[in-house]
Amino acid sequence: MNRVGQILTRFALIAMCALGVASAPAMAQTNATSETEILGQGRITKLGDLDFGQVIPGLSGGTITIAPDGTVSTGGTVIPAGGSTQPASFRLEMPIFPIFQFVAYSSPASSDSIVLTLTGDATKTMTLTDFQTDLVDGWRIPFFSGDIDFSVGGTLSVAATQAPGTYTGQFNVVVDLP
Amino acid sequence: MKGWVAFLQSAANAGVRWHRMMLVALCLAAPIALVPQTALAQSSTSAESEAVVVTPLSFIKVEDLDFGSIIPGTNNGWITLSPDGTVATTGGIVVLSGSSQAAEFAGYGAVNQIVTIRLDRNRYNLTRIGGTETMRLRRITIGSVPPTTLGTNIRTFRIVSPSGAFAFRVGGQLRVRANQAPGVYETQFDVTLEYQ
Repeated sequence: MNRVGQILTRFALIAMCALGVASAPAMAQTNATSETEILGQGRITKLGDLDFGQVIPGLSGGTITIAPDGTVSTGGTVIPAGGSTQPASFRLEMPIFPIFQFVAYSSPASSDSIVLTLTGDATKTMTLTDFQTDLVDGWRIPFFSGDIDFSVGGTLSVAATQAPGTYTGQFNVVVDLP
Repeated sequence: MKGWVAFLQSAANAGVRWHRMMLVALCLAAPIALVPQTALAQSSTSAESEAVVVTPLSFIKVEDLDFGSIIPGTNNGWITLSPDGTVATTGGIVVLSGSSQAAEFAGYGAVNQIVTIRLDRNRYNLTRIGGTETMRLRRITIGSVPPTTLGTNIRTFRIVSPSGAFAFRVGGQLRVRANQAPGVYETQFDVTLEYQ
């Protein structure tokens, strides 16, 4: 095939790709995956979940709070009963360009709330709100700062008559890199 | 002539094949190269939050007993999953690191209160889902101090935590044959805890 023919073929192939080629190759083929990740402007990896350990409601219930630095405090008659308590921890990776990158923690914020549901009975819930973080908004120079680790804590409301069991919930952590 | 046509034919086939491989490669690359890359102004990931609520005289399962992802060895052997999570094997069995988890239970009594714990059996058979093959589970051990084997005989323990809330882990020993059929094996075991 001459050069013009080759170029035309390549464009044709690209166009076909974008539209979605339906025909299957006639030959036997094995799949191999090659992964390249383009960071774009950043990636957050979760290092640990937000874990309240065992919690005793006590006579009137109340709240249990885990601060981003791991400190546990309670309100009402709630007693932290042990197990592993930890704030959720994350690692923010940024490419070295742009040289100056503004980092702003976005969510979950102190006014956001999520619901933890009892394993096996989704009607039993606890509310997790007042999210706090130790990620300080501001300009960073990724080349010098490297990966930024930060934590997120929150306050869990426990009712006096909270049904016993394991409660779990999910939340998304978002950091703006405008 | 015929030979030449044949050559062209095979060259064309080779060319087609090459283009098809190129096509696949381009398709794999397309999501990155061809889709306009929106400027990522946000980075996000998801996380989980968990809390175990214990109320007076409650008894809760926090984690199942999970031996994880197992590669049978060259001989029949055993996997010992200790209550503290450590894994030991015989027979050349490999357990993928981080895939196993000791069972965990929690409850809430009073400090120095006695509790009794028993199981519905001393040994269990895990059965392959969708099949009949089994794996033997024995020596179910509670992470008390010192560790104790649980079974149909009642075991007595004392709650030592000042709040009266407690948690304990349970491990066990699983038999894996060298020719163990691949798949997911499971069984249920009942843990009965009574506050005295």
